[in-house]
Amino acid sequence: MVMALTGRRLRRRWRLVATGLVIAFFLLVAFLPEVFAPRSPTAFDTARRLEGPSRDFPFGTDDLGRDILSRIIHGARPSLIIAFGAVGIAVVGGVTLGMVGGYYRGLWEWLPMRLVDVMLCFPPIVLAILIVGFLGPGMANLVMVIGFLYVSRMARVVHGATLSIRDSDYVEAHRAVGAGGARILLRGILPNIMAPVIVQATLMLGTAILVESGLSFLGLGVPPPAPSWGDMIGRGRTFMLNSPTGVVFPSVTLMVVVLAFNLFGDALRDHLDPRLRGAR
Amino acid sequence: MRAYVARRVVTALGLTVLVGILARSLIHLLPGDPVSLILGSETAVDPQVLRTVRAQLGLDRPVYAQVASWIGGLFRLDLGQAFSTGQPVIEIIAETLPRSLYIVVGGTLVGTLLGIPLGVIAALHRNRPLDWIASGIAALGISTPVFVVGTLLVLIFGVELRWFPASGYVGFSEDPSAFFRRLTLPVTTLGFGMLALIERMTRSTMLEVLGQDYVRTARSKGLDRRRVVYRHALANALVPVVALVGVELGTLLGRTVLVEYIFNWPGMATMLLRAVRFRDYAVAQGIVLVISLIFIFVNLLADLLYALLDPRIRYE
Repeated sequence: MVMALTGRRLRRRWRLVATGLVIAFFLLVAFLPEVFAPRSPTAFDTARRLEGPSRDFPFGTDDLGRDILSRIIHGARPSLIIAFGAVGIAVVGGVTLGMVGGYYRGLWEWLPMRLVDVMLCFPPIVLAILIVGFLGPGMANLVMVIGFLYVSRMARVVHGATLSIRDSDYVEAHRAVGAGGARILLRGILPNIMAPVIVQATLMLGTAILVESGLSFLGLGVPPPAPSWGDMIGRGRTFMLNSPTGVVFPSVTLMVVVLAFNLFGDALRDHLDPRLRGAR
Repeated sequence: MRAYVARRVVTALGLTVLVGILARSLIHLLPGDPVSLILGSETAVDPQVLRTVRAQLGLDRPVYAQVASWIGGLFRLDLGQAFSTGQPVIEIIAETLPRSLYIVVGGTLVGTLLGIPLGVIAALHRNRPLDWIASGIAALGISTPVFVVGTLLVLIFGVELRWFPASGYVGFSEDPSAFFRRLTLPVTTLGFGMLALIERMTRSTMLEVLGQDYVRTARSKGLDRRRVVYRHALANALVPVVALVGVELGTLLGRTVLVEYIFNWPGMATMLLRAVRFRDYAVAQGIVLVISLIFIFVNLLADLLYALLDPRIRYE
């Protein structure tokens, strides 16, 4: 009985650890691409265009004779910066709106939550196309747009979590000793809603990378020649008959990273949610 | 029930107006002068041109007046004219919207019809090989970008095997069989992602419901397992799935943009991309608005269906 329990617990931890390691590796690559990349991501050799994998170019070359492996490695940084930047904005904005909307009654619940409802009516990528399209592409704009779009999603989650504990005894205790609104929110509520916020933020990192790569695929992402996975797939599409590696390797990388964030988020949720911990 | 329906309809109407205001004022909310944003930085700023454009778009009037007349126009189905061609925006939308709906509706159908059974199978075989397979498909579907799925489908079925045309559109009335052949790959692409979401939701709600007292009671009364699963559990597990389809419609509409782009499908999203490329703000804001209105409308339907299926909601 005891053995089975620890075995199961280990298996759950194992999922967390394995996906966490994948994410850690990508963070490392994103921080130090120069260490991992064999070549420059932008140096081109027109004599060696659209080549398959070889000793010189492990993943082959693209239509300008650039090393695909090096471009994938250097493409990690913009993806992760945009994802973390956007999710950072979403957490700050979403937690503020959601907590205020969940704790207070009347106008202070109505106003933030209706704002959230309106924002949720716009599919993220559609609004992002409109805004980036007119504002112009670029890292800062992408972070702002994606972050802004995710504020409403985070606020929904936080609102629900706050509602479920606003009448609990420990929040009541804060009120009883005469704590003010800000203190109750920051000390009474915030620590107790961190679990869903962390899980949601992890899952959002995965989807933020997807939105960013989708925009890059459409040519609305990080401007070339800076490498970006979405842009590589979009450009490689034209040549995929002769040279499928240009599409396949960035696609697989993108899938592995997004899958890692999603599975990590799921494992984290199982880990942090006490209701699921005891479940069969 | 009637009060609930009335309240939801009023909310949806309110959202419609707010979304309309936001879509119209967005260009003013972005940093920079709206006219320069619309013209783009490449265009030499000739004051005469600026003035003409400003007057043409009504941007010389106060912002509240512009927004008010735009909202007024909405109720007359007047979304303004395309900046580049002068064609009424509503005409462009009327032409392209049905094409987009074909793939959205098709994708939802494929996703639902495959996702629910897969989710039930996964829940009934929890932590056993069948669950791993079904949940593995779902994890893959959620993590694979729609443009990767689409690109690979084009490569395999369009280019290599030549089973389906890789891109393009033929109207149903022109040639029904060509219409469906061209619809297959876009719908499959969109359906795969939807399938994944629905499988996961069905699996988790099924597991939750299967653990509940009334299911245990039904089983201990000696009812047949299949009957309990399908009559008692599944019926209740599907209620949140209905809501999910509504909520995830936003994701689906977003993915449609990429699917239309990949398959060269002349729908609304393709028009949006073209409008952005030619900086035709009138067309772009009209399309974004219509997409959001579809979202509001479908969510209203999902909510009403939800209330119909789950009596507890009505007494909230």
